[in-house]
Amino acid sequence: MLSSSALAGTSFFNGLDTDFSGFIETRHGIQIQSPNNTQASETWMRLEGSGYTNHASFFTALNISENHLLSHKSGLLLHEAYVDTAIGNLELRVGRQIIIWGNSDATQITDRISPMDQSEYITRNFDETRMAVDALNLKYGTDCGDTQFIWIPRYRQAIRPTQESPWYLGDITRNYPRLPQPDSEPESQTGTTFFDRGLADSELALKQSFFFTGWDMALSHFYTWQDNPVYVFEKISGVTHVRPRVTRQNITGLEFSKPFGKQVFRTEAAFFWKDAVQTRANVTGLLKRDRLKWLMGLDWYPGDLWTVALEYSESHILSPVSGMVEPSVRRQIYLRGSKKLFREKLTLNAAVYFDPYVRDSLVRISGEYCPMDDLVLSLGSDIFTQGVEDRSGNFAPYDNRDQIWARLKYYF
Amino acid sequence: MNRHIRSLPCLILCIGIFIESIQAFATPQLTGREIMIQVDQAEDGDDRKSHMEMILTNHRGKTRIRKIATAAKDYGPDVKKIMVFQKPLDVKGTAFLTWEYDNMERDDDKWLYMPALRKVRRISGKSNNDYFMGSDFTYDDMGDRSVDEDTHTLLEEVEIQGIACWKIQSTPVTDDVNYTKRLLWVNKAARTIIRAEYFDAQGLIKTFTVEDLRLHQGFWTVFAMRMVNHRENHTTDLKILDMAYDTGISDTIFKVAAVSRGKLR
Repeated sequence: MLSSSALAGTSFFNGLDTDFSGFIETRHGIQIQSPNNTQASETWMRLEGSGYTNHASFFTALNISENHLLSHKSGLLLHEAYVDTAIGNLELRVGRQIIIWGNSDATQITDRISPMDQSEYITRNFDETRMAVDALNLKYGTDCGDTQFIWIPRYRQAIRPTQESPWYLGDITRNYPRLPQPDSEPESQTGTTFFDRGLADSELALKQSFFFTGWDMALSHFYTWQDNPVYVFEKISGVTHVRPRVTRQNITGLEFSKPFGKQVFRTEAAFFWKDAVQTRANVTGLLKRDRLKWLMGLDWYPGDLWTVALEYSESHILSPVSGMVEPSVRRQIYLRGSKKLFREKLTLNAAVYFDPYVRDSLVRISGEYCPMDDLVLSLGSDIFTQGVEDRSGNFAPYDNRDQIWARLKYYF
Repeated sequence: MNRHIRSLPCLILCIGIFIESIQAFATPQLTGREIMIQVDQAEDGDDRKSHMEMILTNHRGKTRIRKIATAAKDYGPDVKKIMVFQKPLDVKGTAFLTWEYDNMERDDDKWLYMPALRKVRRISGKSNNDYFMGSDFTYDDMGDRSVDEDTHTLLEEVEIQGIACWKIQSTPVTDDVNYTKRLLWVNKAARTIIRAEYFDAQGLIKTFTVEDLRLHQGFWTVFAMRMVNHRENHTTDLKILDMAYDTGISDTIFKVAAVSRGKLR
């Protein structure tokens, strides 16, 4: 029995309830410095449909986009589509889905399941850059937590900015002849047919979460592929060639959070076992090193609809060698404050990302105003600073790409 | 005979005093705290689920609507509760899971699911005086406040609109709330607060009234209530659209893993 969306909320647990909703958004950004280029311009719509019965449900989300800046991003995209069922303590979700681990607002530590689409980098919200993966996601709940097993049969690569994107930073391999990728590794970017490589491309994840009174903890391991290929330099007859490699990753993770008073302390760490590292052309062969990433964060709820979050994170490449593109240690401080005003019609946000060594930063100041239910107008600016000149930071390359942006979003 | 007639008033007086004593023994005078414990522990089944609608009306008469689905289950003196927002649509699917502890020394356990981020996050379990979704109700007003977070004094027994009530003054034990005292009218029969006035140093802030209280499935149930903020001339009407008691809700929906579904099932 199908009921209309209007009834979706009113008939508990009987028959199949369906719900159709979505939003339409137009968003635009312009560079503050000369030549005042357009840095984002898109109008897009998301259509969501869901249905559920006592023990099963489905969800689909479709994106329809007209991207005025990056034409290849225009079109129709099946964002998510899955069915899920719950029998007793067992939950199963199968299909295209977004899976996010970890508690960080600003840094990916254990959060490696769903890769990122960074075509437009900072212009998009963190959640909008997520790409769904085709996965079988099984959870078994117990009194003190749950065990999660994820099987991703097909590798899905992250997306980096292309040349037409204002956020493109060049390609260190462009001057070298390209060698083919090894057959033993999943084909990058274009992907392969769902099962044509059997289980060879599979990614597997296991997570044990504990939810106790007063604290939460989780341990995880993710057997995956790197989100982006590493370009390996090889000398053939005295000529340097470059070969893209997508290599395996083994990531062991830990998450912990504990509230005390009006604060919540959280920490997260991930150890990457023998991870492939991008080198410059003067280093030949595939370089693998262990990595450690960790963060400590504090969320503070002081009242009066204020929220404050502070995070400090570090990323280390262990046993570093010269010739690596990334610095062996990278640090970041993230501070965010948010205040709701006028009965939550207006939300003011300020966020700072700062590398204390490079001293580059990104400051994002924004406001969201809801003149009526279901309509949200957002205005904001992103200011990049370069920091110390000869040091390589995440934000320094965008020093001349400060922007102001506006979004109008209507939910239906 | 005369002697007997003369002693009759004394006898009646003695009997009267005896009956009064018996009645006083049978229904002892309750203290304010005892009444509030009875309110807190009023029979409401082992579990309950409902949909509610909040209508926010500002001083210009403009309205906004919030819809929420809730489910709760008792675990001895403690309660596990899940709340899923259905409207407005920009927060649809946002869910709060709360494990409320009767022991006020112990902070509640709370988790928030944010559908846009697909993420369940632990949040502070401290008592919260922020206003709930832009309404005139605070999170405390929505039921998160323990009895011993206030000192309760029984002022008098009164009738309002023909209903016998206890009038109680409740004063917060700590000063981290946005009022200095509340006057509460507790319906004696239903053990339910049917009117409340909130004061601070400047005077009356807001008034709560129950508009529709009736027996439903054997339990006294508030189906409509109103909070008027006198300072801002803003009103919130809260209506219970449906309520079901003792439906045997599964324990699994109060687990953290289940909250990420963004709906009650």
